[in-house]
Amino acid sequence: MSLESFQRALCDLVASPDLCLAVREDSGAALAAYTLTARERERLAAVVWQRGMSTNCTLYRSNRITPVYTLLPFTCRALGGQFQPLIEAFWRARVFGDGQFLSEVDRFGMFLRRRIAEGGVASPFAGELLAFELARNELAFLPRKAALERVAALPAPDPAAPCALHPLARAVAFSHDPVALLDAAAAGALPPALPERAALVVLSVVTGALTVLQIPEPARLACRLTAEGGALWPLASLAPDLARAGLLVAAAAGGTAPGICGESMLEFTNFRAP
Amino acid sequence: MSGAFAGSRALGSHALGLRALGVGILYNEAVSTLLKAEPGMVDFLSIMPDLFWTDHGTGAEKNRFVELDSWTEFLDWAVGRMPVVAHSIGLSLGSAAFDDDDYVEQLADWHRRYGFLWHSDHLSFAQVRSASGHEQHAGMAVPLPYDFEVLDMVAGRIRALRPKLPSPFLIENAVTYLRFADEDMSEPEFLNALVRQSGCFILLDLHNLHTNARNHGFDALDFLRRLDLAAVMEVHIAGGGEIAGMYTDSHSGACPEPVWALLEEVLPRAPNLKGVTFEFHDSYFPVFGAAGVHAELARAKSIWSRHRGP
Repeated sequence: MSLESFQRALCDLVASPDLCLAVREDSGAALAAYTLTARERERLAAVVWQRGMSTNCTLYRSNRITPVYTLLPFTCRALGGQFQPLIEAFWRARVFGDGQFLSEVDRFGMFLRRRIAEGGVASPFAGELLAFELARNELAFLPRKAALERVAALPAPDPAAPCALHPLARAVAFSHDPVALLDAAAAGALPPALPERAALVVLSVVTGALTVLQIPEPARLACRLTAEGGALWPLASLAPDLARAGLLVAAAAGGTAPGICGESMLEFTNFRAP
Repeated sequence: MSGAFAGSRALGSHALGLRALGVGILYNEAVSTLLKAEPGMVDFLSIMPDLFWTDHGTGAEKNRFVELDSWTEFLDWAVGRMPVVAHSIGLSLGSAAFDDDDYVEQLADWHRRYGFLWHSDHLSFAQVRSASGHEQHAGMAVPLPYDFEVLDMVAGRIRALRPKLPSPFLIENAVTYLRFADEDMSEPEFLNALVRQSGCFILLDLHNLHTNARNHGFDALDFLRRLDLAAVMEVHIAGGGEIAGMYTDSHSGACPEPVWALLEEVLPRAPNLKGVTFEFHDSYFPVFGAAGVHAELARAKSIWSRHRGP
């Protein structure tokens, strides 16, 4: 138990410069929650004065911020000066659970969505850029071969029958012009505002590379999608662009293809109906 | 296909039966492009299996390890062309309260699929239980105090692990930015004892050694004199840089001169050494470049050939 507690204390110190300062101030009080031998207590009280502990704290923050900044670059740019306080609030709220890049980014995404919903984020673009980047990341890490094999086993989509979005595609609703917004984010030059315009884009990795397709009439399409639980009906009139791009697959009546429909859930968290 | 590689896939491998391979490289996405263009640029490939899948964690109800198709496609390509060794980062062998049988089984499954010639992980810990009992990741590899209690624990974990992985197991000496007071042993004494008690071999990371020696003011050559170099099966070389007054193991590009000097020391004195692996982090590749990678490999091969023959 003692070694286990020592290791936990060491991890907590690496994760928290504030705890390091508290141990410097009064090691007895700051380490009271840990079951330690005298030697372990003395070691911890000593290492917080070493320059290497500052290095460890820096590396911890660097290692934890890297996945977020790497996989959500547009969102980070949109947050601007709010990024630092938000990521630190996230770190205080959630311990680093498993060291996995994708799960850390997903957890930060959920945290950020809540903050956006609560009105705690100033950027008008953060929500849609976050949705776009989470969808892009999800697609990048999907087992592509298995999904293509499942689709290959389905009948070809029938223009007169219900269909669903391809499992290697995700739809993201925008409330600003997606092209203008994504170009500005990529250039690192987000304007303070853009005219509002509802739009729907579909991201896909069906061909192996990421493609992004803008779908017209998002409101009409979205309403039908929502009402029908992810199934697109009828194919030809509502989503001809998707059909032409091979991004629709047959959806068996009564949900008999749950693997396909379930994975194609559309993302409407930031959709604003006209 | 090399004889050592073919033999290990058919028969399983034994450390002393493996032939020396030469100079290899640790896989990253930049390496993928270089190797596809010139497979013969290295004598073997080292991979971190953990990077080839998404791990949905010990609580995942199903499909915990989801493999990344593009990465495994590369591995399928490479494994028919060069010997491959595994260098995992998830065993957290120094953890006093962490065991992950499913992860070990996943590694064992990959050994069966890809016939890794050997397997290595780190002498450190990254995983603990939080105060509330949940898994907590340290965010980095945290060093261990070189005490008898720690030795017994790590040796026991390696002894339990070895029968599950069908190849020699190597432990890598840690980079550490901290020094613990009043340790029971020095680092070489700890490593030597660990080899004796667990039956593992040593992956001697010369950049870790250089980093520790530089930051903590000890003599790296004296460290080598006290280490059982007969237990060293693989050597890592890499570059690093300064952060706020500390030299760090950032794998940022070219190896510093002291690392080359250490390699010159080790090569003639490590009779069971099978390979020297160059590591760099792919985020530095745009600066370091293909020419930089080739230059480091060429220098390592030159030193290898001078001591071991072509």
